[in-house]
Amino acid sequence: MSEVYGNPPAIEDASYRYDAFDDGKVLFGSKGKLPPMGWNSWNAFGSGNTAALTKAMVDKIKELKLDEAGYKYVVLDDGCYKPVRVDGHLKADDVKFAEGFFDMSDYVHRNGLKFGLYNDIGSRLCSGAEVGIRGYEDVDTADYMKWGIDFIKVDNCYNVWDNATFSDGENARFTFAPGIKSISIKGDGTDLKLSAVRDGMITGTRAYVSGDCVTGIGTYDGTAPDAAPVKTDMMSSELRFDVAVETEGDYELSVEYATGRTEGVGEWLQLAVGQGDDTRMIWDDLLPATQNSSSYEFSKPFTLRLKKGNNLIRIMNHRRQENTLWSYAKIRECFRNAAPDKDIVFSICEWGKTQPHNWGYKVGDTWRILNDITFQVGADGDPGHGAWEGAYTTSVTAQYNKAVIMDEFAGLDKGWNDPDMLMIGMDGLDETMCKTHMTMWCMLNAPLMLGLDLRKVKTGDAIWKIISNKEVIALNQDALGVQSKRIFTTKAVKPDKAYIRDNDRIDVLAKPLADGSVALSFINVSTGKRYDKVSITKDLICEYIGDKMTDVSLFANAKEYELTDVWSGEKHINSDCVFSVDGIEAYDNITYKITPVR
Amino acid sequence: MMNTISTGRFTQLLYDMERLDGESAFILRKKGRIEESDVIYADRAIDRKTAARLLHVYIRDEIGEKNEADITPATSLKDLYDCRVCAGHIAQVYIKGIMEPAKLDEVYIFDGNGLVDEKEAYTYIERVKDRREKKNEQR
Repeated sequence: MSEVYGNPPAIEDASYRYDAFDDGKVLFGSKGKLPPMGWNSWNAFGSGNTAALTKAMVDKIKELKLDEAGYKYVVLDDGCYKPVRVDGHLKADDVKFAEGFFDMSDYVHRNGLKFGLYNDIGSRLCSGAEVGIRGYEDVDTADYMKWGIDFIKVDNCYNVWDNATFSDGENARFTFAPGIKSISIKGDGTDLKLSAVRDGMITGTRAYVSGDCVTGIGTYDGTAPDAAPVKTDMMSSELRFDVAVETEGDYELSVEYATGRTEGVGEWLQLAVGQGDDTRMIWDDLLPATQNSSSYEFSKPFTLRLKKGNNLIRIMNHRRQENTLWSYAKIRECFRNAAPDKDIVFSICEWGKTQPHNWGYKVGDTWRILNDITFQVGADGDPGHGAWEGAYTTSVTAQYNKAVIMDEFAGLDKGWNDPDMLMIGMDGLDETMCKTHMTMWCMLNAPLMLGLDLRKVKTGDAIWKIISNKEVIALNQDALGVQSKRIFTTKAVKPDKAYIRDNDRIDVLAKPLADGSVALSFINVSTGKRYDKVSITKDLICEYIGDKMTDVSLFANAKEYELTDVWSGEKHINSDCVFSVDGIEAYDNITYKITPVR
Repeated sequence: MMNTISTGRFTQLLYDMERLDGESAFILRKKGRIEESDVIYADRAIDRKTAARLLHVYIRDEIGEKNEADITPATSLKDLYDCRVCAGHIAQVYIKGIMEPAKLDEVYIFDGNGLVDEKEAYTYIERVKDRREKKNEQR
C-alpha cells in the first residue's frame, strides 16, 4: 500500500504533534455534543444490510417511538458501497441500495431522523471494497454533503501508514523507530558517545532494553485489551538523553541504529531537541534500511543547535498516533471545505489502536477504544451473537473494563469514549445482561447505537423497555455531560485507575448530573450472584466526583436524599447518608438517581 | 505449484451453476448469497477469507444451518481477529469442520489472504454439499 500512497505526510503544523496532544486545542469540528444515539446496521445485518431492511428499521424507530427516546441517527455500516469507484466517485451497491444513497438519506430525513454513512482512512474498507477515502478526501466529503449525511463512522482497515488490519505488516516501519545502540555528538570541542542502555532514559513502558540496545520505541497497539488507558507518556515511549555542552552552537549527532519492518522495530526516526513548545524537530523521516535488525550502523550526521548547559535530546517515533490523527483530520478539513456551516457527528473507529483517547478530541466526537464487541454479527433472520464475557474484546465486560477507567478522557469539551455498539437483542445476552449492558453504556456516556433487527421488537416487550427506558437514557444524555467514575470496586484499592479484567466483582459508578443529583450504579460484573454488602457514603462520592458536581456543598450537606431506582421507578427517602446494597444477582445492577431534598 | 481456482468458478461449483453471468449473479446478489466484488473479481484466484464467507453463507442461508454460538474453539486461530468482517465466517467454517487451518507450524493460523488450492476447493464444496444432503434426508 505504501508504494501506492507514498510515505506519511510531512507534518508542518505542530498542533498535530504528540507534544500537542494535551494542549486542548480542537483542530476541526465543534464541541458540546452529547453522545449520539441511533441505529447502526453492522451488528444487526453485517454486510447484508439493504435499503429495504434500513427503511424497515426507520419505520420501526417511528412505530416504537424510539426517536422520542432520543435515537435519531440511522447509520449504514460496511457493505453498502459498490466495491470500486465509478469515475472516481463512491457509489451505492446497486443491488442492496439500488436507488442510491440520496434516496436512503431522503427517506431517513422525511421521517425526522438523521442519516449516517461509513468509510475508512485506508485504501479500502474493511470488507475489502476498494473505495477507502485515502486520496479521495475532497471528492468523497463533497459527495457525502450532496447525500446529506449527518454522521460518519470512519474505520482503520488497510491503513497505508500503520500495520492496521489488512495493511501490509511491513508498514510498521513507519510507526516504530529503529533499535538504537548509541548516539555520538561532536562539535566545538565536544566528542561524546552515549550508550542507549547506560546513558539513555526510556520514557513510558513500550520501549525496553534488549541486550545492548533499546527497542520498541513507539506506541502501544491498543486494539486488544492488553494496553490499558493511562497517561499519554506511558503509552508512547521515547529514548532520551540529557546532554550538557560548554558552549552554545551547532553540533553533529549520529545515531547507531538497526532497522526492521515489524511491530516494535521500524525505520522511521524522529529526532528532536527539547519538549513542549520548545521542541525543535531535527529529523522526521525514514532512515536508510540496515542489513537486518541486528546489524547496527551509524546514521549520517544530523546538525542540531545546542544551548550552553543541559539539553534534552529525544529519539522517538510518535507517527502511529500522528499519522492517524493526520488522516482523520484531513477528512474533517475536507468536510469543512465542502460545507463550512454543517457540523456532522464524526465517529473515529480505529479500535483504540493508536490510543485515540489522547488525540481524538482534536477531530472527532467519539473514538472506539478497542476492537469489535462482537464478530458474530447478525443477518436477516439471524440475530447474531453477543457475550457477557470473553478473552478478547468480544464481550460486554471486555469493553466495559477498559471504558470504566477512561472517564478523564471524555467530556463535552472533548468527546466520548466508544466501547462499540450495543448488543442488546442478540443471542447470548439475557434480559438481565441487557439491562446492565444498557446501564453501563449510559453511565459511561457511551454512544447508544442500537445493533438489532428492530422488527423483532414490540412496544412494551422486554427489549423495548430496556432500550427506551427514559430514566436510564437521561443519565447518558444529561446536559452536564460527565462520564461516570468508578469510585469503588470489590477488587482494587484504586477503583478509578485500576484496569481490572477479573470480572468476579461488584463495581460502583458515580455520575454527577446537571440538576445537582448523582447517579449511583452498583454493578455485579460477575456471572454469579454476589453476596457483598456494599455501602457508599456521600463523602466518598464527593471525594471522587465533587469537582465535577454543579453544587457539591448542596449534595454534601443535605440531610435527606430521594433515591429513585431508574429501572423499577421506585422511590424512597434516605436520611443516613449511606447508600447500600446487600448482594446483587448475577449480571445485574442497581442504579439510583440520588437527589438531595433538604 | 499451487493450482488456484477463481472466485467465479468456486461460486459456480458451490451453487451448481453453468456460469456466473449477469442474471444468475444478480439473483444470488439479490438473495444476499454473494457480494458484487465476487462478480467484479470473478476471474481472480479466490482467497481463503472469501471462500470462508461464501461457504458460511451457503450453509447458513441455503442449507439453513444454525451458527455455532460458541466460537471459542476458533480462537486457537492466531489471526482470527485480524479480520473483523470475516472473523464470523471463518469461525463458523472452522468449527464446523469445513475449512482447516492453513498452517500448522507452531501456531494455528487461518491465513485469510492465502489462496485456495483447487483440490481444497473441491473438498470444501463437497463437505457443504454433504451437509445439504444430510439436511435434506432429515427433512
